[in-house]
Amino acid sequence: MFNSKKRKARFLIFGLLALVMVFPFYYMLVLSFTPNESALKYPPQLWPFHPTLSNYVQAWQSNNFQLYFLHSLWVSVISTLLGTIIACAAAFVISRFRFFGRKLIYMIFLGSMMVPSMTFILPQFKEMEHLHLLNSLNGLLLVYTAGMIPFTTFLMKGFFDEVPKEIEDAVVMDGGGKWTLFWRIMMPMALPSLVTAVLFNFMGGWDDYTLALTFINDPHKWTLPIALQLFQGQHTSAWGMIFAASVIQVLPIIAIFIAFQRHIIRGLMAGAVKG
Amino acid sequence: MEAEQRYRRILRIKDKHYVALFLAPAIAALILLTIYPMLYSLKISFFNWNLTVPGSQNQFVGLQNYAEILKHGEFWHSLWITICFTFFSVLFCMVIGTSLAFLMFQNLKGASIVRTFVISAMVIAPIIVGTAWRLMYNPGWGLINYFLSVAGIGGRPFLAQASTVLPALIVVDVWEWSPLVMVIVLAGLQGLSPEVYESARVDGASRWQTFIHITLPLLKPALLLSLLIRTMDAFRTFDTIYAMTGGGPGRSSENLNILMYNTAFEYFQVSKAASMALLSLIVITVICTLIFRVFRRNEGEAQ
Repeated sequence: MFNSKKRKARFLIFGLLALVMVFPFYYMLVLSFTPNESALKYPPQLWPFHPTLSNYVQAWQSNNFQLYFLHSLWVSVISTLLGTIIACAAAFVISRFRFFGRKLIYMIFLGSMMVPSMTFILPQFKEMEHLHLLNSLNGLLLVYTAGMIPFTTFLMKGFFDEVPKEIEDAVVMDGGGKWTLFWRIMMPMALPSLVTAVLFNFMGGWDDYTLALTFINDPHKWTLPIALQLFQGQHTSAWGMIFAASVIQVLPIIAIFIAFQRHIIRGLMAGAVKG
Repeated sequence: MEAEQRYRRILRIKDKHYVALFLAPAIAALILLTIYPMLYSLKISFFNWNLTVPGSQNQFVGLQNYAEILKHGEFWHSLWITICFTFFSVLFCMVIGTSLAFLMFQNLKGASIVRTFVISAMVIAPIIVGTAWRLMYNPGWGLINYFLSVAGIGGRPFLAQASTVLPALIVVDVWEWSPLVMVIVLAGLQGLSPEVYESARVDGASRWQTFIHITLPLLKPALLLSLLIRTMDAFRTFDTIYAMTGGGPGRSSENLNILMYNTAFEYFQVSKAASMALLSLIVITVICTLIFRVFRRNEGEAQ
């Protein structure tokens, strides 16, 4: 039907683009399997000729790595759970009820999505100090939770808006309350959007550096991104180990992404893209 | 219809407490972490608070902070850097992300594996992204200079030169966040019905015509969403730049976020930092509103 030479050329260009995009991560992987002695060789090695797992073993066993891993896990999982549920409840109400101030509240949600993270870091710092939540993982967790709410509300409202009124009415006719409607009907239906929200929220907590750096000073309470930064100071030339640690940090998210890829794309489609 | 409306109105009154209950936690979070900090920032921006000067938080100076910021060059310099960074990063992200989405949409062999790898760029913590790229940009044994020297082009210390540091940082941001645009546009593409294409084909439209007149307009919501998200995020980039250059060399990569951070936590001039924060909030609000308006207006013309 169409000129196949032209098509091939286009695929070649796109393929090259994809390759370039993939390359830095590939290089990280290669370095993480390369023994430290040969990591800094010139010309750089693009393949681990003497692959070793020692970087991973070393990273995993050093500098309280496991502790920091657990901290990150705790902070991200709990804040994701809290943030997602709170935002879903708000999105549900904003989408399905008409009440005074509804538009204004939604506008404030949207507006706070724009706020640069650094803008309120100082007031938040002072606030946390006041509430005795500085240097506390639970305090950090609360900041993450609050930070997730605007985008999640936006995403989920987009989905809830698409659910036909008839479903709502049918539930009410059957004697179900709004509670049943929310938990039993809406939330299961919203699964793809929900998965998307959960993933983005988890990523927000898991990858955060700035807030953790600002709110946590006690080395015993650090999270993984802070620890990774610290690694570089202590092992200046141990690039293999630094990237092994980084790969360990990235793996959970990639695993989630692979597992839920279809949902995530469908979720964005159902929620935000249409809304 | 009328009966249903009456029925709904009764429901509405009956469910008032649900509204309150469901909204309360979200609103509490908003107040604690957005509204209160905003008012607090506004308040301290009128004072001359320096963390190292005791009692200075009670020194009311009115609009003096704003006047000083607007008069001195550093804010304008950082604003300019932020805007350049945001503009080019978003532009390339949109082009590359959309291209990648179309590539992935072709259902080629191995597309899902490539997709997973491409997406991994966006899930890596920004602080690690910064480290990895700093390594690749290394003038001595970094990969990029190696490739350049193989290609016969002389390498250079990209991150240490004022003239190259911004483009180098933009490349990193584009690499990191094009996948997000890809995912969103891919979602939009998968939401389009194939009938649209088929009817266009029947009408004898060329591939390019179909793309310009049918696919792109239908993708508008997805494009708008990714454009807005990317603009907001590029405007507030911090981690990656902080990890790679810390704003340097000199001030040549000091964007607004880094300037604010340094003002508050290096120089302890918290009032000044708060004023900057509010000014930058105004700027990003204006930018986002403009983007929204332009998209809306085009929509009106198309119909």
